[in-house]
Amino acid sequence: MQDDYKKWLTQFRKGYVELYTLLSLKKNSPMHGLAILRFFEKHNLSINEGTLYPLLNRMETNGWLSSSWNVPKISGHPKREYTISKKGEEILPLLLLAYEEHHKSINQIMKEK
Amino acid sequence: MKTNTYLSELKKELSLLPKKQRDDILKEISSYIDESQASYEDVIQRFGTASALALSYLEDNPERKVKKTGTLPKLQKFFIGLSVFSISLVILAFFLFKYFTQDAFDYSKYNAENIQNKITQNWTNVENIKNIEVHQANAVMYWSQNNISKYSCSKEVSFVKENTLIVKQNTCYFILPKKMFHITAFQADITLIEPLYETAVKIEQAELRIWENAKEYEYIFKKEHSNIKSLKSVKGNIVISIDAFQAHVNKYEY
Repeated sequence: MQDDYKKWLTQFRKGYVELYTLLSLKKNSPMHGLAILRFFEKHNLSINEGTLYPLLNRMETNGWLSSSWNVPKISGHPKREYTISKKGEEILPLLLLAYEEHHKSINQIMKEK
Repeated sequence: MKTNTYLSELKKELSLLPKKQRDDILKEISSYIDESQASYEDVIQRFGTASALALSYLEDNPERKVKKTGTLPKLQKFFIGLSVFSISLVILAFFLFKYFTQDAFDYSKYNAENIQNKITQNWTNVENIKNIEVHQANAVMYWSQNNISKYSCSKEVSFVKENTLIVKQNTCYFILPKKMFHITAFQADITLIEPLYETAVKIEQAELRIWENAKEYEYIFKKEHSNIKSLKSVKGNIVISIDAFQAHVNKYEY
């Protein structure tokens, strides 16, 4: 039972974490991976690094994000910073709409007697 | 375990990805580790094992398919390489074999007169020779109208014992008169160029080739575990008797 739930959650997360990431970057671009994680934590979204980083990589491959390296001039580590791309901006309203419609559908079903 | 080990493992696991993409991933994880001062255990807890993380990166990645179809598995590459190498080796061995076993020149283009112009090294006259013994050597024999026997060898290791000329581990050319000769050969290569007189050849573990030059001969074969080809015996002509044991007998061809 617990395993089935974990599998389902993994699949389910893939979609909604992409949506959260686009939303986060829409509000706060650019952001590096660790900053995105902290932003999620701040909004009670629990996700680990092993899920987020490959997902960012995939979203960039899809063209929804773009990244560049920010190398500090004095000290510190180079950071890969992400921004939402034009394609990401275009798809975000569609994803939000789909999310809202699904949410409505679930509520409707739940309310039915 | 160190975080460097983790990054090395990840690099290996991501080998299917294009270099730029792989380098960016490794640099990003490395930067995260440095920034958060994560230990190896922290990294495993947050990212999972290197192979599990690599799997997440490779999943749904279109580059993975391109690379997969464009790249042969290492084992397959190894066997293809091995096959190409083996075939090349066989071809090389064939040409080396041909090079080292080929006659120095076409013996059939020469006769007793002009072979002395071709082979300029010392020719030795010998008298009262009835037998020639050839051991582990290469011998080419021509017949002359003159009554003198002579020979020329690449090494001075031939000698006459009673009425037998013995050559060992040598390359020799003979000019023989029109009289009966007994030729004995052991592990040798004997070539008879247009014999003009009755000849008896006894060979063991050797090769005998005869250049007939459109002449006909009466062959008398005695063979054991031997292979005799392309020689047609016609009665009433010069007799060549061949006693072969574990030997090959054939027409001469360059």
